[in-house]
Formats: sequence, C-alpha cells, structure tokens
Amino acid sequence: MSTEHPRDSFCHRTRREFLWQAGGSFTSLALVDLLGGDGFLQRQALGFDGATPIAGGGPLASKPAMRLPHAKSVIFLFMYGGPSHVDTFDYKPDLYKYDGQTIQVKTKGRGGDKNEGRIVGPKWNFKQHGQCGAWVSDLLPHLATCVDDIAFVKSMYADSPIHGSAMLMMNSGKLLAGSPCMGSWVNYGLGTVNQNLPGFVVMLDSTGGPISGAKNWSSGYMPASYQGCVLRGSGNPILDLATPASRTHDVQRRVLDELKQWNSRHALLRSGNPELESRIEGYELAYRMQSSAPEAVEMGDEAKATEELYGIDDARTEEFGRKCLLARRLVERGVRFVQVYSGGSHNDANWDAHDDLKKNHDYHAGRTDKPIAGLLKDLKRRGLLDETLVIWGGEFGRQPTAEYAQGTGRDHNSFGFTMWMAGGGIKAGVTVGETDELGSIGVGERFHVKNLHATVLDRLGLDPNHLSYFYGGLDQKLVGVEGANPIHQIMV
Amino acid sequence: MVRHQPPPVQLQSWPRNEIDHFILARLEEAELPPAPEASRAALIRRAHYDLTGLPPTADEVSAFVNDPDPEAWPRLIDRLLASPQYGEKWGRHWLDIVRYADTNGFERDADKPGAWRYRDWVVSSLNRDMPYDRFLVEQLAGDELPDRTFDTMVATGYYRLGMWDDEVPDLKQALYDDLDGIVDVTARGMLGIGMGCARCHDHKGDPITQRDYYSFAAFFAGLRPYKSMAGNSIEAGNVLRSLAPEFGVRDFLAERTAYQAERGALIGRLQAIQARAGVSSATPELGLVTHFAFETPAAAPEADRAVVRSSVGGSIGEVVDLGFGSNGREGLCASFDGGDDAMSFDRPVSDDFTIAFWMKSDRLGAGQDVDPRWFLGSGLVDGEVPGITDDFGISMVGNGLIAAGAGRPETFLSSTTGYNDGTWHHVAFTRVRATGQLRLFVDGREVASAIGGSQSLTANRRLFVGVMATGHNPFTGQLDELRVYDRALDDDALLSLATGTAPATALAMISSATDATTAEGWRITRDQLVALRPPVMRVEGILCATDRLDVPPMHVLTRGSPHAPAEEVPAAVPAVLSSLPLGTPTPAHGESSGRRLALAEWIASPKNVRTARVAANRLWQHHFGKGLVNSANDFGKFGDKPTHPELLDWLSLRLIDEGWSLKAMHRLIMLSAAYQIDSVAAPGLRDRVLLEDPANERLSRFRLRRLTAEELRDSMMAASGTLSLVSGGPGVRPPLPAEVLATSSRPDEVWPLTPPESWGRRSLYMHQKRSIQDPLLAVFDQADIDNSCPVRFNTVQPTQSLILFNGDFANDQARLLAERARRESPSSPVTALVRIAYGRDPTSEEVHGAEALLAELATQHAVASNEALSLLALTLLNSNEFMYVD
Repeated sequence: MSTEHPRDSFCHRTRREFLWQAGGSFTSLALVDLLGGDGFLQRQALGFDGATPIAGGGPLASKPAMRLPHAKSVIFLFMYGGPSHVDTFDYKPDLYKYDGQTIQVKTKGRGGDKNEGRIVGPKWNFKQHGQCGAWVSDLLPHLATCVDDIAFVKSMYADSPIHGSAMLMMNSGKLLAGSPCMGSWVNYGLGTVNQNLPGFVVMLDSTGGPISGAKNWSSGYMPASYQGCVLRGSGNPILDLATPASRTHDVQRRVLDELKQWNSRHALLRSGNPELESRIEGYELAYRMQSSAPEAVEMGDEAKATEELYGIDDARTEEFGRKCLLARRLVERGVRFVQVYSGGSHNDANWDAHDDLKKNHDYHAGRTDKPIAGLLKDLKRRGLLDETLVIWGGEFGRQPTAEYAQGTGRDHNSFGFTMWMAGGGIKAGVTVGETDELGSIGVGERFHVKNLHATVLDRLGLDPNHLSYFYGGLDQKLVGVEGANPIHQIMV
Repeated sequence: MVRHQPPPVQLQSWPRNEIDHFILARLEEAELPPAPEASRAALIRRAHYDLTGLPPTADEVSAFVNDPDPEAWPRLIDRLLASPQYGEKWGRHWLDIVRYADTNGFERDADKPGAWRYRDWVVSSLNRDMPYDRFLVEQLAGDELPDRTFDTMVATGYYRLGMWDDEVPDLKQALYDDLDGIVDVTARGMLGIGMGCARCHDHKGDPITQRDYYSFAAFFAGLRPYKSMAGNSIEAGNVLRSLAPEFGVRDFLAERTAYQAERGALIGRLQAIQARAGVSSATPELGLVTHFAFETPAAAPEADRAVVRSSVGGSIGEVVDLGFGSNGREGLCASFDGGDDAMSFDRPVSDDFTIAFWMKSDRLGAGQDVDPRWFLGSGLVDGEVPGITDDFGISMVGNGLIAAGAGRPETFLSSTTGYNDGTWHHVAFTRVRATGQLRLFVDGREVASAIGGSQSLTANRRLFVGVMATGHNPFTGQLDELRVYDRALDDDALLSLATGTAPATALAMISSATDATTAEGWRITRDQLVALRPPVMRVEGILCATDRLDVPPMHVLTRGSPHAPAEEVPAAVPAVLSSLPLGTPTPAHGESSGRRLALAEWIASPKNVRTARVAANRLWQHHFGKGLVNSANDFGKFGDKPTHPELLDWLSLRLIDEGWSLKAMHRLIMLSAAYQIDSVAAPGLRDRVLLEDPANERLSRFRLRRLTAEELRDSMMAASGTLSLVSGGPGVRPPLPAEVLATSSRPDEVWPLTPPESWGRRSLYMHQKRSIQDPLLAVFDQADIDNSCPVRFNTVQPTQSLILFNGDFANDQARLLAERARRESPSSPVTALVRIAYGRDPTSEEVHGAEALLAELATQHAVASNEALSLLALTLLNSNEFMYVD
C-alpha cells in the first residue's frame, strides 16, 4: 500500500475515476487486479470525502493482505460491562488479606476520582493451570483447561472508565462516535472471500444491544458496505433475509425474474450503465444470501457431541453456546470478523457488577465459560484455531475497591485490566504485562486498546500504521493518526 | 477572483445561458458534442426530484409533456421553487452538512430539547429564499444581531447539534471535542476548508497552522458548554433559553404596559365610585381563616429560620431563608430564590376551601408543559403526599402553566397558557367537598375545572409555600397576599380579589347610596374590566447559543491536549483564507462578546468569495450529482481540483450579484442547456464519449442518479398514497422492525411510536436518534449524523435488496399501491400501477409481460389476484426506473 498521500498523485485519480465509471460491477475483479499493482488502488479505490464509492470489484471484494497473514478471521468475544480481572485471571493474593479494609489507592470510575477505598476480596479462589501455569479463578473452570492456548495481556488500559465512551473506544479506537469499527477496518483492508455472507457479523445478547447500539458496529465515515450486520442465532438470522411467509420460494424466484426483465429493459435504454448493472446483480447476490446465511445458521448437521461441547444442551449456556458455534461456522465460511456480545442492556444484564459481584459474575461467567472453552477446543481440533484470532475481554476491568459503602460491587477500571487472545499468529500459553499488587493499575509495560487493535490488524496481514482511509484531510487509521505498535510479546 | 467572460464556442445554437459556454468549451476541447436534449418526461421528473425530492404525478407529467408553451419549463421551475417541499429537500442537504441530530448519543442518548425548531428554521429559511449570507449569519450569530428575533435565536441551535457525552471521562477533553465539532462544521461547511488536522500540531504543507485552529476556535470560546461539572446529565440551562415566539417581533413590554394602564384606570374608576358610595372594603372577608400579607419580615434573630404570622386566625408560618421584597403586589412580598427558601403552616382547611394568592415569576417551573400534573411542577402552595391519597396542591409547571389538583381519585387542573411573564398574577384554587368540584382561577377568571373526590383532604398536616411538600421543586419568584378561606368563593368574589373591586352584590349598595346612573356606570366599567384581556406571551424553551460574559482565554493546546495549554491566542481568522480584515466585535445586548457576529460578517461578506464558491459548488453538486469541486467540504490543498474552475468563479460571483438568492441560482442552473441534456450520449457516439470522458467530468451527458434514502422512502409512500405533506414539528417515530429495536440497550423504551397519522410524514421529519436508525434509510446511505456529510455515499449492497424486497415496510407500501391502482382503475390496474409508480403509461410489451406474470402467479403458483398485483407493485418499487432519475 502506498504511503504517499493519495491526493498528490494524478495517476491515482485518473485510475480511480476510470474504475468508478467502468468497474462498478461485481464482475470486474480481474480488471482491478490488472490495474491495481499498488495496494492503494485495491483498498482506497472508494469514496473518501466526496468520491462515490463504487470501486472495482465492489467494496467487499477480496483483497490480498499487505503481508503474510497469520490469521484469516477474528472472533471477538465481548464481555460487555467490564469483567473483573482480579476475580478471573489477575491473581492478587493481597486482596484477600485486605478484604473490608479501607486503604489508599487511586481509582477513577463512574464514581469519579478517589484516593482511597474499601477493598473487596476476590470472591473466588485462584489456581494455576496447564503447562504454562496461568492463574485462573474457579469462576471459569472450563476456560482454565484452555490456558495453554491463550496469551494473556494483563496490563491493558483504555482512555475512559465510562461505558458509553469506553465501548466506542474498544470498538473503534475513539471516544466519540463517527469512526469505523474494527470489523469495518478489517473488511476494508481485506474484503471478504464469501460474498454471499456479510463480512462483519455482530451477535447481540437477548437482553438488548450495548449502550449506543449500532454505533458499536458502525462504519463511521466509511461507506455502509463496511458496517456490521446484526445476526441472530435463531429465527430470521438477518433483517429481512427471509422471504415473507406468504411467498413461496418459486414465487420469489419468479418475481425476481420479473424484476430483472423490467430492469434490463431500463438498462438497455441507458447503454449499460455499470451502476445499474451492479444493482441488478445486487438482487441476485441477495437471493444467494437468502440460502447461504440460513445454511450457515442452521446447525442441524452438527454432531450432538459438538453441541454439548459448547453447552448447547444446558439451558444456562445454550444462548451463548449457540452463538459461539455459529461464530465458528461463520469463520469456516469465510466471514472476516465476528463479534459476540455477552451481556446487553444496562446494569446487571451485563458484566457491570456495581452491587453484588458474586451474583453478577456467577451469572455471566456461568453462561459463557463453557461455550468459550468449547469454541477454543472445537476450533483447535478442526485446525481452524491457527487461522482464527479469538479475543476475549470487555471495555475495561473493575476496581479492587468497593463502589458503595455496602456490598461487593466494584466500579469501572480503565487503568489496568486483562484481555486475552488465542489462535492465529498468537503465542500459546504466555502472559505479558501486570498490574500493581492490588490490580488497580497496569505497571511496567502497559498496553493501550490501540496496541490490541494493532495486533489484530497485524495478525491479519495488515500494517496497522499504514492501513489508512483518507477522510477529513487526514489519512485516518484504526490506531489513530499517530499510530500504535502491535503487542510483539504475544505474537509468534 | 477573476470575473471570467463566458468563453466563445463553435456550436453557437446550443447555449441557453452563460453556463453553457463554459460547459461547451470544455466539451469542444475534447471534440465531444453534448448529449441531446432529454425528453420532456425525463426533465419534469428530474426537476421534481432535484427541487422537492418527490416525483411528479402522471397527470403532471402528461400536462408538461403536452404543453407547447416555451415558458412551460421556467414556469415549472418557479412552481417547484415556490412549493413548501423545496425547503424540505434542500434543507436536508444543509442538515447533512451541519450533522443535524435530535439526540445527544452515549449512554442515555437523550433528546436535544427542541432541536427540531432548528430543522424547521432551515426549511423555512430556504423556502423564504433567505439570502445565503443572512442564512449563515443567523446561524453563527443570530443572538448577537441588533434585529434579533425568536427565529434568529433558533438559528443558533446550529451550535448545539453535536454529540454530547452525558457522562464524560474527561470533562475538558469532552468540551474541546464539542468545540472541535463546531470549528469543523463552520470551517468545512461554510468555508470549505478542513481545519481539524491542525488541532494537534502543524502539518508540513498544510497552510492552516495549529495557531490558526485555536485562533478560529476562540470565536466560539464564549459559548456556554453543554456541561460544566461531573455527573451524568446535560446541563440544559446552558444550552436552552426561554423565549416567546414573538420575541424581537412584538413589543410585549409596551403591550403589557398599555394593558396595565387600562386595567389600572378601570379599577381606579370603580374604586372611586365605591369610595363615594361608602363601599369601603373591596375584599371579601367572610370565611377568611388565614391571611399572610407578607408585610412583616420574619421576627426572629436568625433570619434563616423564623416565623411569620397570619393577620387572621393566628396561623403561624415557619420560614426557611425566605426573603421579603419591597416590590410586592401590596407592600412587601415573599421572595423565593429557587434554593431552600420555603414557608410552611398547618393546613387550616380540608373540605370546602379557597386558596388564593398573588404570584410573579420569570422562570421556568419544574416539569414540562406536555404533562402539567401539579405534583410535577414547582410548588406554590402544596400539600402533596406521594401516592394516591387525600392530598391537594398548586404549582407552576414548565413554561409558567398554573396547575392544581387533588388526590383520590387523582384529579388534575391546569391553565393552557403560561404566566411566568414577570408580572403579578392572581391565582385561586377552590373546592366544594359535597360535589367534589375543583376550580382553578387566574386573574379572576376560571381557567380550568374538574370534579374530584368528596372526602376530606387530610393527607398532609401542613401546607408548603414556594416548594413542593416533598421538599423538591422549589419555586423561583414572588408570592404575596396568601389567603385561605374555608369556603369556595364564587366568580364574583374571585374577580374582586383579583381586581380589588367589590362584588356584584355591591351594585345594590352603590345604587342606593348614589343614583342609578352612577351604579350603571359602575356596572359598565366592571364589565369592561372583566372583558379586558391581558396580552399573553407563551415562552418556549429553545436550543440556542448562550454565552458567558467572562469569555475564557483560548490557548494553543500542545498535542491537542486540554491539559497542556500553551500560548494564549486571540480570536482571528487564518490569514491564508482571505486578506479581508475582520470587523471589530460589537457587544450585542450585553449578553455576549459579539465576536461570533464579527466572524459571521467576515464569512458572509460579499468580499469573501470563498464562501460563495463553496455555496455555488453545493448548488451545482445537487443539480448535477457531483460538485465542480468533488470534495465539496474541502477546497484546500487536500481537496479535488475543480473540473470547470472558470465556471465555478463565474457562478460564485453571480450568486453574490443575485443578492445571495439561492432560488435565483437554481433557476439559472436549470434554465441552462447543460441541465437539460439526456443521461445518455447520442447513438453512435456512446463509445467515444465513454472513452474520452469516462467519469463524465466534462458533463458530456447528464448524470443518472439513484434516489437518496429519504427520496426513496418518501417516493414509496407517495406511490402507496400514504405520504403526508404535513410539515414541521417534533420528529416522528413510525414503527421499526423488532430486530432493529433489539439492537438498542433499551429495546422497550428507545422508540415510542408517535400517532399513526404521523407515520406517513416525509423522512426528513423522522426523529434522528443517534443510537437507532431506520434500517431502510441506513442501508441506502443516509448521512452519518456524527460527522459533517457533504456527499452521500452511493453503495450497492445486498442488504438493500433484502430490505426492499422482503421487508415489511416495502411490502406494506406495495400492497397499498396495488390497492390504490385497483381502486383508481378497476378495469386496468396494471396500467394504473405503472402510471402511479413511473408517472407514465406502460408500453404494450410491459402490459403483456405484467399480465403474463399475474396469470402465471395465479395458475401455476396459486397466488390470489390481490396478492399477485401486490407482487407486481413490489417489482416496480424495486425497479431501477423507480429508483433512478435520468
């Protein structure tokens, strides 16, 4: 990809304009390949400020990675609300000792800046697991069996300890809405290899979406082609995917054929305008999606043992288990970026444990622990883990101290928290970074959300500091105009 | 800028005005002829969509096609420019640029109160053809203008459209982010220059420096921020003002003075007659059990806790921090500052009663006009006990509505207009236990009545004055002469209380003490007093600019961090933009520094051709599908070069010459030959045109364009007959698919439906909520409301096909369209269908094809004939002929 400013090159412009005119159809992929020796053309051939984004091959046409990719797809398991790192993976023995004592510790959360607080001892016991000896609490017994496949980053930090802005940051790298989310960037950079399925899929909790709803999978200043598609694990998987109940498959096909006739007559009089042709083709693509997407969602062909592995046979784990299994089926079929939310809505409907930590985390961990372990195991035994990057974490972690005078709830903590990754291009069984003895803040080498984003792009074969989109006078990047390095310590 | 002469051309017969010379000269350079003239049918459809965003009807098309008058085309243009739909269509373009939204975003995604007034201001300003320079000035400094009105204040809602984090991680950062949005929209939207890049540091080659950025931002430094402290809400007081719609237009003060003078004269005459007749007391005394005259300041050493005594009955009022003002209705009065000021006394009545007092306020009450239940307002005299119980009270709600009520059953009364106009008003609430009748009087006239329960109202032992009994919602203003009677005074007595004149029963006394003529004079005067109406001015809370007088200094922020201020900078425009000097800020009304007005006048100066260029380019863009400068928000170094630079200059100067009239420019552009050519080159030339002018930069043919998201949705409703052309008002919320609601963090509350009659309103009027979007509009590239959007995307996505072919909205519209076609033409519904959808008659091939489809669906697929016609309607709504404009 060119690092030159795209606007400075007359050559680029001419070619882009040529593509705009000539290449708006889905069939001109070869033409793009012919012309697009430079990466610029392949990624940036669509609308920034002012340009119509009809590019050769369509915006989601598969594009070669910028360099050798380690992973092809991403599954981001989003523990919305902010799981407590000191009750899951970040073992802090002192916290048990200080339980109930008020001590000096700087925190910043929903309740503002504080200099002291009442320590809440962890509500679960920790043990070391696997060959690597990673600490995992008995809140997550199934995940504990997978630690040798996981790389933990224990000194994560973010710019906001407030849900609204922190969600946007974890998803788009910015505290404000309006920028594309990670899944949009991945599809912008790589396209999708399966045009019959959306390239960026989001699965939400049954209680509702996260704060700001669709802003969390928005394509921001990029075209809507890159925005996340909400997919449901049951019923009609994609909005308006199903033909209305009163209409048979044959009728649908017949009416689509009729539409094609009307459109062909119209196009004929307009000397084969490529945009009109691509819209005609769009209906065929939608029609193919009508059979592809249900096939991906329909799990009838899965073995009973597989379903059990994900906990689908248990009412408690069924919802998240189905979504995890669906995530595997989607990446198997070429979907680039799948995001699965654990928790939705507000308060205790997600991991936001302000009042009763034990009750909240028992509930949410209980619904997700087995499905996530099942997903890792299933991906591994199918050889998919090597090409799939799995991410686990929330928008931030939680404080070592109680939020209120009573109760065990913890406030938000963006100074230090744990996330983990596993799979394609990620070292197995390693831990990097740490927090202080209370788990209140990352110490030593800390990793920003942008470093996490950089790692994801890098593992997919995209250069995080060069994957850019020209908007608002700047070459915008997921990792910000100033750039960020990937977390090399966890990369193979 | 040079005033270019239209260049000479060879094909002299083609140009219709100067524009065409510029276009044709570029074509002739490439030896390309312009495309032939478009068909009349294509032209009227193009004109309708470009000016109104709606299609012409088939009858309008055929009338135009068959009109031989050469003036038919200019007449059509004038008709469309004069239609109210013009402002709705072109208002949408501007709203995209200023990133109009109805909500704040983030966790609560709360409504921006009254943001829709700004939207309506944009629409109506365009419809009135407000000169574009004035259009900008009112938005930037409508509050600083010497001739400001309610409308110019609404225009400054411009500053309040950004996303506002209700719970910010870093307050300073958030406020600079909001400021950045204002800088960005102003610089890109009005001047076509991106300044945002310079927020953090200078960029090599970028003529806009970091110092320029902060100097420009300093123009807006006086604006009160949407939030100035921690907590999880927006500070509405910082972004709202209470203003009357007649503000600046009507001299309310003079009207009120005149009214008061007339009223005073009438009362004086009555009192003079009464004095002559020896009818001394003008106030009913019977049944008066408590009377706080507020003449004696609290008699206690510590002023913040004291007592005042009733002049009758011995009732004691306990006072907290209550002030005594000398400007009372009669003598001194009780003054409440909206803090902890309050009085309470033992409730002296529970069955029949009258509670009467004078009140004066110029503030908003608690609660909102739309829900004026008394217990939601600011307490006047109140004994509320939460829950449904035997309580009662009087309060002031929202924009000064007077509300009263009683419990079990919950019974509410309220005035329909507000009384917080800064003058004294007499308020009375009466009850008759036996009948349960409750009446509310203001200024001696009944404003509401209701029948409530007939039990004793004893729930609260005490009554509270100036605050709700719960301790919430303090009142700000003055109260005087609080009287409590243990009977319900009648109309006459209440008028007497409110006017200080004796009751009508006194007529006899006057008659006997004087003579019939005097008594008749008294009666006539009193009738005049009753008939005299006070001037009413209802105030509205509007979203607008509000400034602080102590404008904080603006500093260059190192790396853009609000925590690293460097050198202080004055408000200044970047020298690189124009050599035009900035005028001196004139303090306007003493409410702000006037520096925004100085900027506005600089931006909108006829000497600042940059502003005109950006505007002329946008006009071109929305008529020709693409600007002469493609990057319509960026004319700077990183923007695109104009395809016809001389034409752009010419149009810009013409816009200024036309007094910045946008309608004059529409007319000019649409009368050009360039606007009237076909979207396809002449047969035989098509290959050459594609080769020589592949991107149509020379405008060798007209650009076919897809309908915008709103045009598409509105056109579907126009076809089905459900489109409503009601304009203006708060945003509407038609049904959304359950799947979309499920993506919200509050699926059950996020989208309360507005009444069904609002569902067919134009898409412009749909409530623009940041966290949820209509899926059809979203997928057809509606602007992202978080950023200024100068050019809509034009994507082709399979989800568009899904939503248009399978979605409920599309199928409902198709069914209604089919029903309409059958209704309008029972014998040939296919023809009617095509006429409605396309505005033309079908060809015989189309009719045969459609009838074959209907027959096949019936015979081979057992589809009922109604359903089959709906499927044909669906086909047409999905077709490119429906969705594209030639």
